[in-house]
Amino acid sequence: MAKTLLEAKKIWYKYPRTDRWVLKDLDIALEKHKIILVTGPNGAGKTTLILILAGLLEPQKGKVLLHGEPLKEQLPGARRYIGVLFQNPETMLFNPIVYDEIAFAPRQLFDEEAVKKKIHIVLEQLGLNKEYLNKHTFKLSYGEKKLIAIASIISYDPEILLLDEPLTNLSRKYKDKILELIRNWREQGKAILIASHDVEEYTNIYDSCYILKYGKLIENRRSLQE
Amino acid sequence: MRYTEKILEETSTIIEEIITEKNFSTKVDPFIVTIVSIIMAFLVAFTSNYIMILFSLPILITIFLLLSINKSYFVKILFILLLLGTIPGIPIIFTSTGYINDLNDLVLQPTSTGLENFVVFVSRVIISSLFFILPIIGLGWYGFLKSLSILKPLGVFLSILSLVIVILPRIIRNMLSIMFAREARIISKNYRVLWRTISSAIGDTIIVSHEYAGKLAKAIAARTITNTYFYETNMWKHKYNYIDLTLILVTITYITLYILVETSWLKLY
Repeated sequence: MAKTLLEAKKIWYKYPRTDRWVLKDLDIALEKHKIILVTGPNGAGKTTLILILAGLLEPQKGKVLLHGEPLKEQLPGARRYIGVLFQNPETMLFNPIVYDEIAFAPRQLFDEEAVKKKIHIVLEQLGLNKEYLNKHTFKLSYGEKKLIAIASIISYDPEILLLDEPLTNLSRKYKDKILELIRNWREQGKAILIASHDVEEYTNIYDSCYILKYGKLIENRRSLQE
Repeated sequence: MRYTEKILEETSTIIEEIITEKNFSTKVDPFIVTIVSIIMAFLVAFTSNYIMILFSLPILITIFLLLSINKSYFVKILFILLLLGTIPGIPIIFTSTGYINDLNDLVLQPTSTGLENFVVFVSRVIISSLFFILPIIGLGWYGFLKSLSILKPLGVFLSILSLVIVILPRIIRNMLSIMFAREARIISKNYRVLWRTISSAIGDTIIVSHEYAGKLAKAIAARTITNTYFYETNMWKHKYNYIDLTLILVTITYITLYILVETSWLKLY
């Protein structure tokens, strides 16, 4: 039986000063070696779900469990197990230089020598040149920013990856690169959740697919691979 | 409209130019040169003694030479500072006491005391500002922060400044794209329409920036594993040499002299 790493149980969420429940009585479990695709129209609550699973938003009802224990009680230390890729990489990059951006989380865990090693491993994984390290984040193209945003997450090797629209607005070259990375992460045993309105892009890689509509995960389809 | 965009574009270029880290030579330690500049900027800004201002000039010139500042860039900044210092300082020339406490201090003709105080005021404005600006131009804003990152207690302050570097060009670029999108649909030459467009673009930029700031805060929180958010970066490698030592000694001498003069222990004129 696959090991559940992150779980949301009976989640209810609505934004402050609104009446609409974005998520209603929602259950989801992220397991090792599994890719879950959550799809749905714009405004369905996919990003909200990711923010709740990452512990960045707190649900009004229900709980999020990491390794079977409440996530809230394990924060901020638990964030080393969870990597979040935001839809727009520009909102993720907050350091002037690429090196500092990738090193931000590892620096909280390891010494500078180990950080340097980790960064070089990440660059190799992403097929990026060392020259990128001294570049300014604001001077990168959109695709490059997305790759650096990914690098900033995998640099601390989280076992759970929450990816919000990872392929949106990217050229084919970058899309293929990221899909290949997602496959590799599954092989490594990571639990992955992808939120996207576009199912077609991920047809060959997900293990289960949920449609988020009216705040609920209402449909469950098996991957075409199986 | 085109002028507004031109100004915004120029501002964006200047900010990008300033924040870009420069290839810094190892003639002097960046931390020493930055800290000396900040100390000197404060001291000169608070002195009313022209001899102390004159004594600070050799240090300023040394920093200028050590940081290999682009001369044309320097002249432009000097001109702007001269303008900014002179205009508000002009009334001082027409005072009997050299400063304005009430309207009775004002006279109709220039006075020698007024003129003397005017020169001191303008030189204070220019020289103290230059002390602060030179390391930013010479090292770049990022380099400026990098040189100070050795001071761990300043971590939060430096991290805020570092965020400013990243956010400012984005806000300006956002504003530009908002304005371009609007200008593309302006057909009439009606100034009321133009004004409405510009003012609403500013409002929208604030809203977009606010939204952006919220997302950025979440992105930072998502990768903050420890309880404190800290600023850390790669330090410059530099071997201390006689230039560093000389700069420190000269600054210490200046500070000692400054204290003696300002507390009236020593009269230099």
